[in-house]
Amino acid sequence: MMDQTEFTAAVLEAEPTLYRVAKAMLGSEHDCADAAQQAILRAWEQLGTLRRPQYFKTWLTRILINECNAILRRRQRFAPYEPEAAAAIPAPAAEDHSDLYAALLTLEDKYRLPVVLYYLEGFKTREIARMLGVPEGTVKTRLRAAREQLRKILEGACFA
Amino acid sequence: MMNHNDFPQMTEEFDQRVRQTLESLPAQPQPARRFPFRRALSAIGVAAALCVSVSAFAASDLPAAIGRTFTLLLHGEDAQLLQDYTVTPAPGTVVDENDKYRITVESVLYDESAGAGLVSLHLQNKSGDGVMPFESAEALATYKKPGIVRSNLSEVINVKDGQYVFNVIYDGDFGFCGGRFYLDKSRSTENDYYIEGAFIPQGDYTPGMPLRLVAQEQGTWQPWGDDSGTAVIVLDVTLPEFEQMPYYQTADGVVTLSQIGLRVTSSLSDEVLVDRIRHIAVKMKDGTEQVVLDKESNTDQTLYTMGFGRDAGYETDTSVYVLARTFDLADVQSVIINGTEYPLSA
Repeated sequence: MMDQTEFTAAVLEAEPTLYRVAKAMLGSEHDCADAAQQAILRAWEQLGTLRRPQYFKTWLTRILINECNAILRRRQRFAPYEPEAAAAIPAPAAEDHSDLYAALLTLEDKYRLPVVLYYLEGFKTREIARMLGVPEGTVKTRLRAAREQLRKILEGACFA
Repeated sequence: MMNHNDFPQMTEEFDQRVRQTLESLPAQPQPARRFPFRRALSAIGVAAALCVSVSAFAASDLPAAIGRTFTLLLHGEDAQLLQDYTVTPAPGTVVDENDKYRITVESVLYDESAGAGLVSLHLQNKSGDGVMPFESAEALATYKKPGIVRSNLSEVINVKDGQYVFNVIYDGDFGFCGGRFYLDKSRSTENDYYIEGAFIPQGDYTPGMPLRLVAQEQGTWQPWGDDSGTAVIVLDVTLPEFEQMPYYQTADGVVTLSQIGLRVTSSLSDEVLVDRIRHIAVKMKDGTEQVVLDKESNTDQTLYTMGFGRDAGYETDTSVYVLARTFDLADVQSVIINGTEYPLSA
């Protein structure tokens, strides 16, 4: 089993992925940091159950996705929609993102996350299926649907 | 092609939080530990309330077919449909023992979407004195029905102080799953007891929380400062990380179905949901139906059922079922509940 030094190194190596996945799901910087913190603590606590250390990043990402979903559920339950609060959340500044990122944000959650995991983070469809708890065929279907939507949004921008 | 430059760069706030968390990690918990609960143990021991007969352990005389059904999901003919998701720890890794008994988790299957789980364990009597720390209860012959799976299984119950109660818990010491454990008489011997448990976390469970299988000693009491307390834990293992199972749902999320669990949520009404639901069938794409529950015809193909919500202050009523038989999810079209068909999709 990893010691603390090895665990720390593995988390820092995965850190950019953790950020991008949390960002794709939550948006808010504060929520992203909260989710990452909780995910790291849970992973540390459950480290003894990680059966294959070579899949640490996949395993940690899945824990992160669970934490992000927990935050999203808490938002739904405890935060009734208030237009003033919504208006107070700043939209991403133009220099923060590309047209592709802006288009990505318009996708529904169930399409956006597989796109990030597959095209940006390089996870395999089987890994993504396990992370999201859906059949592999569903992941492929959602990726296909997301590509079509992004093509329409970007009006012919190259997206392979 | 999408690349990292298309995405916002990681912020300093995020990086600082990650590094602070790593710098202040707590001491790593030991794999097996015992510590008191800070919550009253829920009621245990149901023999007096049910029409069951309690017998000392004897070699299995159940028909082979029932024995096969009992272990179907984890060991029998349905197991191949679930093998990608059944977690089998390496021998000797998910173990705890005390002076008299040694507990080993053989396999775990947990569906987080519906909230249904199965655990297979081996309890070894180290002293070899043949004293089983529980009773195995079977329904009286009058109440055994071919269509009711549970009526043909030997439930693990506790009727005397010193016997063990099995529970699956979460959220440190605060969360208790509902559950039922069954003795597999086809594999058990005088000093080796093979047990399968079906469990359902309650509404306060958050996906991702670790689950622990514990044995508590009936008749003992670990009090806390607030006059509450619980029975002492005498065996304690953390269940291994589970493989997330695929699931289907209705568009509104009211019905969730996996290969081992069904979850139904409804608005509150005068009658609790778990009582209102009288018929459940899984409808396949080829038009056939697999009946899960039919109260009129005494059919119950579940290992455990739990309803919760209204008594815990939630605004909805939820029923969860741990299925006794499984199917290929790709063949499923819908679930029929009380005559209403609920189309499902991934």
